[in-house]
Amino acid sequence: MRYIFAYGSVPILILGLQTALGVLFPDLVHLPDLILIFCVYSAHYNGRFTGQLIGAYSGLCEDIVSSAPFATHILIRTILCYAFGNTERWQVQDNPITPIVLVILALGIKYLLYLMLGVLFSITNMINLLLSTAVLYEILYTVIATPVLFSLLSLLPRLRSNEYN
Amino acid sequence: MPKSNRKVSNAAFVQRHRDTVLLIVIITVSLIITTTFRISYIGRLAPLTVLQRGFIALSDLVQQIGQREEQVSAINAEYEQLLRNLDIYEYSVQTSGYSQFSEERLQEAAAFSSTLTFDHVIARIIARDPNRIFRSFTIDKGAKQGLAIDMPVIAIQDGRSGLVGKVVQVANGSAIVESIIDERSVVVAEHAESQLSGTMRGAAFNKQLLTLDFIDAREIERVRGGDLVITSRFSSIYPPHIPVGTIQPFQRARNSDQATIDVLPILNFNRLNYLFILLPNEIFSESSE
Repeated sequence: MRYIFAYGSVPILILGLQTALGVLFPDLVHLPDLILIFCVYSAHYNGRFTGQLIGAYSGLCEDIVSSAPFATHILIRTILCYAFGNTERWQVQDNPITPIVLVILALGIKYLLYLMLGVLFSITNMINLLLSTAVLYEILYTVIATPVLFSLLSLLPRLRSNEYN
Repeated sequence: MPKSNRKVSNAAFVQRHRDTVLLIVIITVSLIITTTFRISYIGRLAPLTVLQRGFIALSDLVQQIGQREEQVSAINAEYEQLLRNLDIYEYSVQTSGYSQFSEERLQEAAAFSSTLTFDHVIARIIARDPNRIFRSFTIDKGAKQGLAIDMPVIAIQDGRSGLVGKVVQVANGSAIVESIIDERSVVVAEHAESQLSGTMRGAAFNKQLLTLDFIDAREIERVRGGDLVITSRFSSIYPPHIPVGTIQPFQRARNSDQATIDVLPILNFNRLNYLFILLPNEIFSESSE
């Protein structure tokens, strides 16, 4: 029960922070993708199956607050969590660089999915984003936020499968 | 193979590949939803709205504390200056110039509200889209306050009012406003002076410029850079004569039936704080006709 509560509330909290960042720092070229960091963390510590469910739930929360076509984020986050569920056995805890590498890889997959969805649904700004310098800002902000968020999430043992606790 | 054995082997296959099966199911369902449905009313996550409001309230508090600290340090600096210059008059002038931005914005909004002829609801932006691809805002008012889909939204900034966009999703205590700079936005607008009509589309990624396609380009000579663009009489959503933007300098293309011109919005969408949602009333319905 606590496990479900933790996974139910943490994405909402992170998403609340991320959407509020846009109001608090209106001049930022792009925002850090905090939900992506959470997805990578969850998938890494819980494997592909649980990771995908968490990814789909996080995407659902994101779709609810976004004006993007509904289920876009569910799709992106689920695929990301499936991919990063495969990293379950990697040694992340001892190495501070690995989370950053994982998140950069996740951003790469996300941009690839943006490209596909942009073409599929004629959302030109999804493609334009990839051609602009804003991508670099997003990568920079997300990379900076990664160690902080990983450390904060590690304070919640319920967010990891029992093997890690 | 007997039927029961086949069932068992199928179940075993699904169990063995449950990760991939789940992925395929979620991808298929997501693609069907994305391509088929346009969900316009969603029971928004109430805890999230509470959180978003909380973050904004917290930031206001931090801002106020910061402003007070700034004020204290400014006063200290000015005091030292006083000791050096012994100029009391200069001190009083400098301290009186201090202002609180958020309060100013609220006062500006209140003053504008009293002059507005439309029935309206004042709302505060509590969140923006989680990424910068879609340019929408979450506001702290919803169906409870009478908001509905497609209601026009305007704002005031530095004494100038302008069109913001329209309501696209409504929940009980919050709503999502799609701004005119979102790439999916389309507004029927006209050149204020000549009344030439056209369709105005949202901006490209990370830009604030809108594009206006004039339906009839033969009269383009009457349009000049810096001219005002307003909402059209023919719009079914927006009331007419609301300022939208100013025409940017452009090159006149020859031998073309349609002209496309860049328009700079009246409002800076990064600095918006309070929005006015126009409710349908008699004035609105008459002006729309």
